[in-house]
Amino acid sequence: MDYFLGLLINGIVVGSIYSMIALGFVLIYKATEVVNFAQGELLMIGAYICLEVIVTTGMPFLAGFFTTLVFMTLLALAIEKLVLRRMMGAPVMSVVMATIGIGIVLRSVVLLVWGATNRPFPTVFPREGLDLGVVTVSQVYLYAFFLCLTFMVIFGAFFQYTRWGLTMRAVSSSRKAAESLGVPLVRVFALAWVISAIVSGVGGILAANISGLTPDLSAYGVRVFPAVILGGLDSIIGATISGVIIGVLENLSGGYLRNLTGLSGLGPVAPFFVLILILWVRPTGLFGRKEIDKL
Amino acid sequence: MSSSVPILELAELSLRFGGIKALQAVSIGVAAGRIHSIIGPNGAGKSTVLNCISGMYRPQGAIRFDGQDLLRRRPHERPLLGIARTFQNIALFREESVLDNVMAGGHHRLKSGILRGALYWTRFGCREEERRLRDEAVEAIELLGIGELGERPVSDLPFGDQKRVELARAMVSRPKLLLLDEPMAGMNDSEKAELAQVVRKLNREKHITVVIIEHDVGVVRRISDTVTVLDFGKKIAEGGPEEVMKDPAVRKAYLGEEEP
Amino acid sequence: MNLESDRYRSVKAGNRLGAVVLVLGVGIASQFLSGSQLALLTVITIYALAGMGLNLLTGNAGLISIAHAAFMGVGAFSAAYLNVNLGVPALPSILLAGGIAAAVGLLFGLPSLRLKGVYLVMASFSAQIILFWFFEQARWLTGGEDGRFVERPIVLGIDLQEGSRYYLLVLAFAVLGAVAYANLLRTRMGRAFAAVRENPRAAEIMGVNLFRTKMTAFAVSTFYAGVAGALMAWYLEFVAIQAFSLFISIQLLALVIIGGLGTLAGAVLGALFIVLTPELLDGLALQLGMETGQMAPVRQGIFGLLIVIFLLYEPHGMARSWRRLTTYLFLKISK
Repeated sequence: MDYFLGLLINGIVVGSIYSMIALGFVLIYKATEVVNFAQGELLMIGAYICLEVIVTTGMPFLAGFFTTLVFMTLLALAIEKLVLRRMMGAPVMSVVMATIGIGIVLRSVVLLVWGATNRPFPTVFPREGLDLGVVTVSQVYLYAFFLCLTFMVIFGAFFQYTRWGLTMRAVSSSRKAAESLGVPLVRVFALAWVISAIVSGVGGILAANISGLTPDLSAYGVRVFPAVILGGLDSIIGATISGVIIGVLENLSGGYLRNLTGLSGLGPVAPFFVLILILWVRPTGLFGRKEIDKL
Repeated sequence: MSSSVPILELAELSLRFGGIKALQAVSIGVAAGRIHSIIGPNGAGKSTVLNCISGMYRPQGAIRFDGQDLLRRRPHERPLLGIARTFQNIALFREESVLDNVMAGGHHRLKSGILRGALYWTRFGCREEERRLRDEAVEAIELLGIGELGERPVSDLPFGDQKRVELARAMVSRPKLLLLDEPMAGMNDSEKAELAQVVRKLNREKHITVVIIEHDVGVVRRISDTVTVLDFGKKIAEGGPEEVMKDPAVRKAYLGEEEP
Repeated sequence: MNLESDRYRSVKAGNRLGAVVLVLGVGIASQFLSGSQLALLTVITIYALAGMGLNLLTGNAGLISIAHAAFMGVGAFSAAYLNVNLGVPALPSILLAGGIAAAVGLLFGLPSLRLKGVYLVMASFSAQIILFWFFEQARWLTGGEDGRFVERPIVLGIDLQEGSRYYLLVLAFAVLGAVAYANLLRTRMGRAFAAVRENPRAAEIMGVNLFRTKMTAFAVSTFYAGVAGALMAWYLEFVAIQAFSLFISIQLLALVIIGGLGTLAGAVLGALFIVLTPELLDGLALQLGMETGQMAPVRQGIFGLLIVIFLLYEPHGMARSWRRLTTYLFLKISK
């Protein structure tokens, strides 16, 4: 039972990080129609920047955290302005390829500067367990979970109540209509990239806090794909819930399926079976609207 | 030839988009071998009718073509039955050459698949049928006066020439029924007259029944055997061109805009 | 018809002549190359073949795949198993391997047929992840993470242990693949692929069965990948599953996009680019006296940068520049 609860909680926490990254992914896709394959590299580089600031300058974590956010903003603006804005109207595969190229560049920068070895993240959140009655949970998990929750609420409020949030929703529901109403598309695109990079940066820092930091952290970028599809590419709520579902699924299948099937490594792969299954059965995802980009 | 047996019958077609009634119980009979115009103000549902016939929309009601229940046929099966069309907003394969576009109209007539395509030159290959189709395509574009554009990508061409490519593509399909959605848009009077000649020629010599949407009343008068007038998704008049043009309801709804 | 068309035809004839000269030249040269040069040439030729398959799907039919390395892997291990474990002769093994890859390709292509854009990307990405995981697990087939040995076969009584002889087999398949590809493009199915890519709605109204056409594109494309994979397995002799990883799939996609979507020349030029760029960069790094530890990331970074630069400044790929150049030269000479 403890084993199960441990997996479940781990899944929920990792899943909440997925939710955030999925949010970033969906945001860029909905606003700019770009399928961003560099999402994982964005979050990885965010984590490295934060680590670097804390370790080399000895500044407190919060300073590192906010420096990272500033850096992510600048990076996102640069990527959007230098590459993707110029590729508006290019075929999907070219745009996908461009983000892959950007990802490769970011990754090689990280490898050059920091190397491939695992770097422990300094203790920011206490690691001692907290007794929740039925199960003991490391506090860093709880912090991560609540930080994710906070960020999701902030962005939810942003989209629901602010002018820019409404503008972005308008653009994502119909780019043509929004454009004809005089919405400044370029700024909306830039904003989408900035927000996406910021949530990715936060996600990266939290993930690094939990599991240490290597360039492999970028795998988070593609591990959210199943969550994105499950969520139906539509709603923030959808992305949130799906992220958690996928996190839990990953952990439970990693924890149990090995003994059941005799196959190893099913944890990270199981969500992709689910992804294919969803595309077979219900391509709009669990939360997506009925209509879909058919042809 | 000029029998009044309908080759195409639309019976009580209705179609809604959300709250908008695009078509309301529209019934039209198109006689075999005729040129049948559909006119009406913008938004009257003219293109919608063509889209129902070619299978882009699924309306309520019934469509019978050449003895077949058309609504049971999937869109890609309709060319096989003998229906070809052009589009109001041009639906060409933009990066392909004019000839390749026109030859695409013969898709349903050829049989060759992957193997016979890959074995082009051999005994099993499809060289013969490809060549025949190519000759036919060249003939079609020459008839339309764009013979010299064969190798050019269609995206380079002006609007009027793209319209001609669409018509050539539809011709190569060798239809019994040809649906033309504003084929003369963007052309001047002499170009319109030429194209009207071509349409009449196809009609007379190849016995193709034509349903045409056209705004130019002069052209409609000259080439139509029958005219149907739509307004707000309803049929408001039908008959010979002169008779229809005199109809007060038509004058009010449609001609009223242009000839006050 | 007229002058422009005549000129067009003679340029085309010139291209054809150039292709024949290229194949003969490469075939003869391969018999005299050094081991490392021959190795590069073999890999380029195999990637060009795989690139044709991917280009058919992505460039011509407009359907994206980030799983073609995995489909190559299916072909590689199928051929190895058929030939080495089951004793099926080499040539049937290669064709069967292509068929098996096509069957697997269809399986993963199936759900994406109703969908476009982002969903297709996701479906093929999943295919890559799932198939690679399968390679890791299926030790009986692939040797798992240890890799497996694949002995080069005897084809039609000729022992292919010798690399230069084996290359001729690879070249033969590449030429067959290229001829079939070029023929397909100019016939009915090629036009149907283009129609589906450019305007699916209009394609349907022209009588193109979208579902069947897309299925065909998937099947043919993954058949090419399977055959290329089989040839790769025998070339490598020792096959590690890493040869069919996500990174290779990405490289193949880069190959067709940078080489030129939808053209035969694009597949060939793209293969040259993908294989030679890292080699040249390594050579350069050695000249500059760079440490080997730094070389890999630098090479990767420049590779990524080149992808982005190409997409921004030559979005139609190297084939477009190449065609401009050859047309220009040809007209110059024929004057």
